[in-house]
Amino acid sequence: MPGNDDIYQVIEIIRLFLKSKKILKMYPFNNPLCINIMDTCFAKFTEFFSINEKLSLKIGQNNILYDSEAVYSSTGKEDNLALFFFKDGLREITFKRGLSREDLYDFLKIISFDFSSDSVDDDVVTLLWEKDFQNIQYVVEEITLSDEEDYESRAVAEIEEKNTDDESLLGAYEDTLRNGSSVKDMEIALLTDKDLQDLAVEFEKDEYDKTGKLIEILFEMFLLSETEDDFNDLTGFFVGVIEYLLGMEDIDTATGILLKLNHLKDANGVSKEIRNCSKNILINISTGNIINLLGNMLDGSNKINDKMIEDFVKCLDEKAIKPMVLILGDLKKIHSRKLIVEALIILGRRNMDSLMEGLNDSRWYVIRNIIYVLRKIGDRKAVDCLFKTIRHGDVRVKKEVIRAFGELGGAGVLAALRNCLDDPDYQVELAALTEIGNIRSEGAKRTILKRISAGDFGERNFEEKKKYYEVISKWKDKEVRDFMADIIDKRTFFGRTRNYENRACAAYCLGLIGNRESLPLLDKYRNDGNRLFSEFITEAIRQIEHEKGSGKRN
Amino acid sequence: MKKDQEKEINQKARDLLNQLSALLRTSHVHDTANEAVISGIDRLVSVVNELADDQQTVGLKLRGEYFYLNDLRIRYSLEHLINFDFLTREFKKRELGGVIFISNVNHNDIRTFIAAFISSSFSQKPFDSIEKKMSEVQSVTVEKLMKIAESEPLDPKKMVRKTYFNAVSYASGIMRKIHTGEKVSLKTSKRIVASVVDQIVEEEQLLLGMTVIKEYDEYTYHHSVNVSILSMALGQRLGMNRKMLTDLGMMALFHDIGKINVPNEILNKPASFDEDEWKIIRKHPFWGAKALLKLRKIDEFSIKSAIVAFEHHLNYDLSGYPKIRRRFELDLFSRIISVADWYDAITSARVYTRTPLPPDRALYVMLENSGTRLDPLILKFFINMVGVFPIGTIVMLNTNELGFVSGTNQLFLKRPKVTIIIDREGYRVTGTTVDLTEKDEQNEYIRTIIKTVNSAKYKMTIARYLQ
Ligand SMILES: [Fe+2]
Ligand SMILES: [Fe+2]
Repeated sequence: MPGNDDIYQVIEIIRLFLKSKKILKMYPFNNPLCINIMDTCFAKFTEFFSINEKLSLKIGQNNILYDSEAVYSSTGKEDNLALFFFKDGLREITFKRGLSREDLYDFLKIISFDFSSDSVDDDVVTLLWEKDFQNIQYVVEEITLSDEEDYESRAVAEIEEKNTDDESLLGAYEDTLRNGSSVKDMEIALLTDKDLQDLAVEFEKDEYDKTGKLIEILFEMFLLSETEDDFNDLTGFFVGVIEYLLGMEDIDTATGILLKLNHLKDANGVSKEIRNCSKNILINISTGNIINLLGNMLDGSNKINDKMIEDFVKCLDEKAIKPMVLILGDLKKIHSRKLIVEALIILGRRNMDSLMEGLNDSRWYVIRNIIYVLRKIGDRKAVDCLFKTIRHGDVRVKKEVIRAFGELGGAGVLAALRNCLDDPDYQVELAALTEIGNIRSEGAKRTILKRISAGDFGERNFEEKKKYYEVISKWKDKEVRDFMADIIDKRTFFGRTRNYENRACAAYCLGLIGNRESLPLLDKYRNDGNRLFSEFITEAIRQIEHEKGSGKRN
Repeated sequence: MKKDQEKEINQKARDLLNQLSALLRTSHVHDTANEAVISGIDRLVSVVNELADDQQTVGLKLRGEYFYLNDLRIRYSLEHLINFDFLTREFKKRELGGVIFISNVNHNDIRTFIAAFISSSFSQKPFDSIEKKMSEVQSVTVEKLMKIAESEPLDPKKMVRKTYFNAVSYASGIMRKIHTGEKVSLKTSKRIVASVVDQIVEEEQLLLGMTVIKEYDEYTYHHSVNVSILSMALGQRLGMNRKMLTDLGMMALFHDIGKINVPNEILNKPASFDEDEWKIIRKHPFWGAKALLKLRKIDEFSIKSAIVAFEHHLNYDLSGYPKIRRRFELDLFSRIISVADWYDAITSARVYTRTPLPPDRALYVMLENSGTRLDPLILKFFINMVGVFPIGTIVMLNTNELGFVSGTNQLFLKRPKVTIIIDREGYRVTGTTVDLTEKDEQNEYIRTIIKTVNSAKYKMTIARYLQ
């Protein structure tokens, strides 16, 4: 008769079962938390078995009894351990002394298993059964597993009906005595060591993943398909297999399938049905579901082959653009995002509108990525859309738009950039300025010259001013040089410091232009009393002289 | 009763049990004036009256562990188990064996019953208390629980038979469901196959014996189970572990699932097929693979089972059907199941051969195809398993006794155990089993097989002994 001590120990063990169930569901089994709880549980068992031979639990629907004492009870439907065992038919579980650590671990893993999924064929009973534990025994109530419970009697009755009556049976016997065929001497070859070795090889081969085989069969089924239904079903299977493969992080095989389908879709000598079906499959795998799986795989795997991803993406339909834009904002790894951006560069060309819808995304970094993609695609069509985006509240987005403007060019771009020069954020202004410089058109030149001549320009700080002069130096024509000469020659009594800054910048600009014709002018001020001015003059002269050797490259 | 009708009544009966158990649960906590109780009573009234419409009286009775509606046992699946179990316990606690509703029950009658039921749990003699209270009510009467004798433990033969027919019944059910596109869970298949694996380990010979009887119901159902049993038995010889055996058994169980698309007129046609019919028959591997892949999301099970369904009529040398364009190596499971499939098919009087071959002849034919149509290695293991005279072979002994092989001997392949059905005088006997390795005082074998026999007449008789 177990004492109170036992009961408390068993209650504690049940509590540890529940706790393990919770923790093992949350973390991978090798997580220290999991190992810790399983170890604790094992320690409890060890303690229990130091006195007792076995621990036998009777399972009720709402309670678990140990030696007719309730050690657990719950009336809930969820998280009810008793019901969890009970509903699969388990009525008793017995742990015996000698229970190994591994077996207990396996037991705890089984009870933490998620049975809810449709694709799980197991219940607690089959998992316990499969493990065939030495020291965990259980009793299962027999439940009727088939729909027709008295099938047996029906079948037996049917057999009975056909039973031969004794008379004809004995007639047959007489007949056999006279005519039956004598035994043929069939020799049975006994099994040899070689047979066993061959068998071992077969078993080894069987351990490999069989998806590849299924894929071969699916392609064979292509040729065997006759009806529209067949082709529709096949479409579903291919999509399913791709999903499965991505879930297994097997991008290589998945890509192999896509490349083949991509080839089939316009291959000669292939039936129209197969071509259409291939095309259909490719459209059907360009959905959110597959793209999400792709994203999970990219984030989750460490062995991504970039070339495979590229090939995979090339086969997709433009329908994949939208879901790709969506996951772009969810991906965690920089490399994953990079791969999706590359993918969008490939796919986006096929449907710019779809891609540009991404500009309405609520996440600034997604928008920035999309603009980057648009830049890389290099299609001016994007510019119109970007006029709206330039008003985005985030500087990082604006800067990206400005770069796109600079690269793509086109009508209205200069005006938009000019507006940006007035942006309160200097970052934006600077980016716009740089891009205006890149445009290098007459209008662009005018824009900058006008800014420099504006009354309040002189009030800006030196570095900012210098930047303007640097950009304008890209136009190496006479107009700019004359403009600079005018500034250098300009003297004033008011705001002399500012004026010297301007003149220094103009010298800097002439230096960058590097035209020898500017030398006499510069020479004139070589010894000017203003230190900043004269330093820039000297530097500009040095630069132009230095450029001499390399000819008039600029 | 027609099948559909029975199904419908079953559905309603389950409803009745669910409503009743829900109502009793609510009434445990609330009194009968409570709204939840009132609406519960109303629901029960309508279920009862609906049933009474086609049954006149509705008798809900507990016998043993099962509820019956009048004489029909109410079948239920795991999902209803909890409610049913609750009711069983509550009924037993009160020694209540049945409630009979006579047509047109009304709200008040049910309320009286519920009140009587609940309050009786405080009584020393709960059943008497309920009965007394119900005596005033015309439309509801109660019956006392009858004790049934504890059943004695089943003998192995009965257990095997039960497992076997349970599997066949399940196979027929699931195939029909898959055919109609009903959602099926394979949890049950796995339990069934697991129970077979358990018995393969302990009662292999009895189980193989069951595969000999083939003359009932649709061929495809018992054939599927037979192939499953034969494959698992073979798998066991090949040294497979439980998990592999279960997988193999599952795949084998579904190998012919594509036949659900073959019209019954063709499947059950008594004469040979013409070319068009063959064309349809030959599509079943393709259809099978389709059905299995459609079952649910692609996973390990659907992949493996679809491969087997597709390949099981492809021969070792890749002849057979469906015609494939690229050569590939057949899956190990496909090759195993193919051997089991051949054996069961050619020893049956359906589909592939109109005249069944006796087991020993069947082996002979299979050996002729070793290395061409059948995998020689797998076949070798198979033949070593079933012996020269496989279970079910009808044999004439040198003693002029006639019997059938009911157990094989791994050491003396030609000396199996034989169950005698006709004695040396030509009289029908009740079937004692003799061991052909037995010797007399002169150290001579007492009995030896001299002839094997192929007669449908015996075959039907064997069934009786195997049952
Ligand atoms: Fe078949
Ligand atoms: Fe078959």
